[in-house]
Amino acid sequence: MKLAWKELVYNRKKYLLIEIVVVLLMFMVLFLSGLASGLGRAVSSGIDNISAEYFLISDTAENLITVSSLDETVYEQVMEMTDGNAAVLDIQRMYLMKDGDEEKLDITYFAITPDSFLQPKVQEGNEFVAATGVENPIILDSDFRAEGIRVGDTVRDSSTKMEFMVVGFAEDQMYGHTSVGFITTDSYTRLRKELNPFYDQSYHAFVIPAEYAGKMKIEGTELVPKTDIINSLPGYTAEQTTIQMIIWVLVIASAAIIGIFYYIITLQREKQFGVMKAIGLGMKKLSGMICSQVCMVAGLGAVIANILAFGMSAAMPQTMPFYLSVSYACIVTIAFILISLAGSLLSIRKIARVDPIKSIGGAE
Amino acid sequence: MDKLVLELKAVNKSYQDGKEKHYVLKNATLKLREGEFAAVVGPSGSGKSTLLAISGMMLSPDSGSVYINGADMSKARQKEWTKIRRENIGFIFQNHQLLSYLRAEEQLALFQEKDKKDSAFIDSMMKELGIDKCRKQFPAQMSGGEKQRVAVARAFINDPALILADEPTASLDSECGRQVVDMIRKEVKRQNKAAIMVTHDERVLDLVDTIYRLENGALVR
Repeated sequence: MKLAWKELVYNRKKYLLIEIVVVLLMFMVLFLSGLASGLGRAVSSGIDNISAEYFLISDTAENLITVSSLDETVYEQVMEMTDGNAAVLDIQRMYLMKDGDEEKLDITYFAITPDSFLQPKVQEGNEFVAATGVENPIILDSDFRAEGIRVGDTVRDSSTKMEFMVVGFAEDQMYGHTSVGFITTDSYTRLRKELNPFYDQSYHAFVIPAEYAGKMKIEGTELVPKTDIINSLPGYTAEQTTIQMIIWVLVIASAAIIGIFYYIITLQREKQFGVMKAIGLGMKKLSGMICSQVCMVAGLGAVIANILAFGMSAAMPQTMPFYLSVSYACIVTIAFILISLAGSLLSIRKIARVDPIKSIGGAE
Repeated sequence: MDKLVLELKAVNKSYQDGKEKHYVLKNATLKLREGEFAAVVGPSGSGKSTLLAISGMMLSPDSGSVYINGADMSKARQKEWTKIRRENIGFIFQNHQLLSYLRAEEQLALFQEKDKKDSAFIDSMMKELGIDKCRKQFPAQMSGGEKQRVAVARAFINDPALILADEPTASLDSECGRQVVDMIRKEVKRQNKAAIMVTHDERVLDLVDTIYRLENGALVR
């Protein structure tokens, strides 16, 4: 360990170059994973932020909340089984217009009852309960602020011309690449009646807290865990698999580059290893030296890259879909170091094959 | 009578040269006692390196036997060679072969066995060899003679019974070379070791006790 460190310090110029390559590669990996989960969050964060773990939807909906339809009898059964602790959730994709503006903004309505636990954490303005007296309150994703909408503004639904009053903003609420607007179930029913006068009260989904999950057996329905709902969001799995693939190919490629660098350095030092073996250093010590050196180079590079990536994520503008979780960064970093170590086995094998006899007679 | 440290008994080593069998060592026999400093001379290609490799547990002979400290080394498995070298043999190489990234005293400490960790011994070796002033220096900062003297100190660091020197003067001018050989001699006498030096530098031969010549694969006194 000490020996490995001394060599790094003595040949710092050489190792600095390698370190730069490692940092750049690792930074690229982390940056991409930040963008990937940012993109994933743009599809799923509205659902992901919900603290409950299960969704009750129609069994023919194939995990898609928007396709599901549950009637009043199911509503009553659910409320009875959960002692009123389930929450209603309707999801509807529409367009929104600023007052006095004809530009259509994408929005996904999350219709909830005003007192349910689905109530988003409001960052600015009021929650529904504090906004009684407002006929159609709406809590918007904070991205709408970039469109010039403020608390107290009136916005209109583009097809029904129904007016909503903005009572608050909540952070990081996205669904299927659109920003979410939370409205009340009452407003939602009115909205649907405007669109279709024959609309019959129905529900997309009920969100069930985990403790009731065991007993939710209702004919024609299915209880789906949150992760399955998210993975079934249109586009989510396809996007994520593609980007994950890119990330892991990058992780492996950058670790392989370290392995190859080390192999070249090892080739240059062949005679030196011969001498060390002749004097009596065993393979245990030599491979320990290589391994700890690779660990240091890869570990240090990964740490610097992490600092850069997290620093960058803090400095990035709000609307940029960048989301880097500590746990994911840890997994990538550890995997990177492990694969680097695996790559160093190539060098160790080379050293194992160096004949100590190389150390005597003849010059180089 | 002084103890035998190294004994080669009728050692043969050959390699195939086309259809002919070429003998590098033919019936080579040698006895080396404690406190004895021997030189092996011969033209290049005469098998000096092979002799050193066989005595140094890096190569096995085709036939014949090698005894180190009275133990028959032909019975040792190749896996144990590294350990045998570490415990019994000190090497001095042609071009010092110090590790460029270690200071002089670290060079010695690195190869010192754990149970023999003794900085006092390192101190005394460095003083004895006149390299006390470069103990904090890297090889790149030392002169050729100093580097080779650090290498000599390294060879003695684990208190080995046998010292093998491979052309220790090759990279030095004649004055430095002579100094280095003289130091090897002094340490061999002082610590009562046995040493073989392979060389083609005839000018230092007056410093050794015994001279062997390698002629057509045979060792002649």
